[in-house]
Amino acid sequence: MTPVPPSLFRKTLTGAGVVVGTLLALEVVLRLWIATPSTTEPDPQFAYFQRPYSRQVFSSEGYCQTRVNGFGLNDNDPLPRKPPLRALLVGDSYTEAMQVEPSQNYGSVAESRVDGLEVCNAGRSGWGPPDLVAFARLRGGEFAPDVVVVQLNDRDLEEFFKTGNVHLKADGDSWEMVIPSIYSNNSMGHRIVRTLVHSSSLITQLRRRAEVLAKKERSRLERHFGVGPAKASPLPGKKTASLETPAGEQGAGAASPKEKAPRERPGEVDETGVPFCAVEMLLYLDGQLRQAYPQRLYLYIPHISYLEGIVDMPRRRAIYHEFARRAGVTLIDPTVELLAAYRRNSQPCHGFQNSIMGKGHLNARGHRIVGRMLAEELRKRLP
Amino acid sequence: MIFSSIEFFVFLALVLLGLGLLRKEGGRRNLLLVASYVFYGWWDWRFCFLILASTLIDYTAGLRIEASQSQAARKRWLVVSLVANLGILGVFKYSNFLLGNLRPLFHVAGVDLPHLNIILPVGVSFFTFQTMSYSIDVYRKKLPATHNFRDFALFVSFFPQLVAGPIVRGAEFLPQLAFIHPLKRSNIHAGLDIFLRGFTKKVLFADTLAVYVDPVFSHPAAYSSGTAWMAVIAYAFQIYYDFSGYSDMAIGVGKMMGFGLPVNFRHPYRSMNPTEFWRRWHISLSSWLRDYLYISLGGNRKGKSRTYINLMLTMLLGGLWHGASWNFVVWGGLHGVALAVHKFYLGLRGRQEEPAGVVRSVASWAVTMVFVLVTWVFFRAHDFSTAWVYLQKMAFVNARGIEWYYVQAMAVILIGAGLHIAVVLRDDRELTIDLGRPVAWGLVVAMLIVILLYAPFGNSPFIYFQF
Repeated sequence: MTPVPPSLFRKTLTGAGVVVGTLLALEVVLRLWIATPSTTEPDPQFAYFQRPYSRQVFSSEGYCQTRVNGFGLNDNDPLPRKPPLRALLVGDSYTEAMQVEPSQNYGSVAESRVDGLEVCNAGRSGWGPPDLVAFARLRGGEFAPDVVVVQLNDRDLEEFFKTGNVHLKADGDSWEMVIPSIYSNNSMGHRIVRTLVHSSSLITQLRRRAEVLAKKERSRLERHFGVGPAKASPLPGKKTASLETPAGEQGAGAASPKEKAPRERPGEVDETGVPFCAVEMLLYLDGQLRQAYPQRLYLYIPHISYLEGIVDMPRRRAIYHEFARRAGVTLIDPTVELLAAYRRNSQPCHGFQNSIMGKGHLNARGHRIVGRMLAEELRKRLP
Repeated sequence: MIFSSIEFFVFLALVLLGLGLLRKEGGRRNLLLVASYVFYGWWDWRFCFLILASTLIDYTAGLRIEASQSQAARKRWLVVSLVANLGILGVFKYSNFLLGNLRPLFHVAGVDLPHLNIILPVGVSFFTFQTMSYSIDVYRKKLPATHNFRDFALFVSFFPQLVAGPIVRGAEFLPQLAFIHPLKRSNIHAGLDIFLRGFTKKVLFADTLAVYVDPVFSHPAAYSSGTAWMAVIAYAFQIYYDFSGYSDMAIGVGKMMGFGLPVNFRHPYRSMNPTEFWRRWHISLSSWLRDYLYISLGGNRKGKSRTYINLMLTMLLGGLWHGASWNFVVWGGLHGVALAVHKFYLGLRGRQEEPAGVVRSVASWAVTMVFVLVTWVFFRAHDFSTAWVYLQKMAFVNARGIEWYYVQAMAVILIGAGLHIAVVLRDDRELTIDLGRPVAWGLVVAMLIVILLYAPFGNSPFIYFQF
């Protein structure tokens, strides 16, 4: 008897079944071990926070499984009974530290080293200095901190004017902090997309990757056809400073950033994207915190190129030191300690086995060093 | 336009659509020829004239060789073809290398030789070798000259294999033009299967390995010996997946359009000795070098010592074919030495009827692989000093350094090793997906999703484009 070939309907059904089964299997694997679905909740002031108490799995750089607290931040809820010293640590992705287990981040390391200290981690990926200050001012009260620790990194100097986030705008002789209204688009389409993304790890990941791919392909095609935004070039007559020239080493008669870029022209940046008046802006932001938080600490996380002959970004670092000197605040700078650790055991304090070693965020080794230094500074502030 | 880019998919879809709509074979070939020139001109339209010039010269030379009655005239036209092709290679690929080597000598005499601002045309080494093989085959009367210029131009510029091989000989391609090539579903399924295999090799495997290999080879002194070993193993897989991935995609695209292109790789890392390695690695080049260079030099017909010299010369030139750098010459030279030593050893041992035991097989394989890995260091390193530092690391001199075992690369290495072992167990038969079965489409969807999730999207070009 000749076997009857399967009908087109049966073939299509089998194919669809296999595809759906494959997708479901991928969804389960992703959700359990690789990446949870997006849990971002819109926030009128700070774009988004993670859904309170949601589970997070992060594996694109380092690895972390955690559950965020009631604020949607990567930490436990503040202790019901306030300890002798409570620090609010505001920062970006270095502080959020989704690359290491929660017990390994520098906030937790500092906490574990000082009796009577509680560090409330309020780090969120993508925040720049204006976001940090705005968060401390607007929401910091809920933590009732004795001291505020503001974490900064080299890239932050480019983020004063990022209009999608809290940003600065010139206002006569001073600055004005602008909190943009975010998530104004709450249309049906956006809500559907959000619901889909929130319900599936696979859709969340595919959407992120498709965005990355689309961006890369677009820029590649623009390069091929010679179109797209022209590379920013310094304005005529505008003085620029080299990335590797520390501000304090520009030679006799060199103008300070303030002199080079008057406040009337706040958008002026040098060839590396750093505003000429970065120190003034940092001073302004510190002024926003001074009244509410007499005790302030600044923590600088450097970018270090271990492989290119151990260089950091001396000019940016010098800007932070200049700011701390003029503001009269303490700046914790672990650059020397991180480099010393690398020289001692040849292992960088940035990077992971699933990313490029020596680049990216701090690893557990780096967090340990920074946490130790943070603990020493906070210990001095114990009552 | 690289095979793994969005614009290539659009381009391929348009070409296939056009081929499907055209009823006449002539129209289809015209379309393929125009498409091939568009594909090549996508990099730099000016080089279309170069490939056209090469086509005209070899087309004319082929006809003249065939038409010439005297041997001298035949030889003269062959020399015209060889000089033209080697001239193109010499000017575009080797002139700066030559000037760079002569510069110190001339500097002593007070003459400063300039650095010429020459762009290397993509795939120049491939299409010149392809056209040279045609002229030589016509000269040797192994192939009749092609009288149809359009068909000959299509042979030279056929876009699937134009820029990085396989090197297709006239004898392999031109006879296929005696038949018509309508689009067939079975061809599309088979071609798509091969193309997807190549696409996965390149985008998921080779590009992932590149993320690991590039930093380690840039700063070998900073890494530990263990990392250096893992990175060179990763590079061995990277170059294999990159190049064989391209070859698979070329073969797959050719198949979709009804053309057969030669196999370029047969799982080279299962080789038990250097001779077997070269029978499995870049087969279209190694067989080209054997047929047109080694045999022309006399092969093994002129005594033992000449055989070894011919082997060395062939491999040195094979190394130089890869790039205008002494690193490639050393790489080729080392392989030449290995081939000569292996030939010498076979001569000493004599013919053996008994198959080798497990221990001896494993030992042969291990020695061959260590040798291949060491030679890859010269192939990949920017210069001799970097290669030297790297080799020191591999020899556990200054063994301390960054311990980095990139998880994604380790996964690819494990998969690669597994696939090689699977092929050994299947007597060299490839693992294939029959796209006629619905289950296969589930696997394809899964593979594409995994690629979208984990491919590094680095836009890294194929390694062999530079050659």
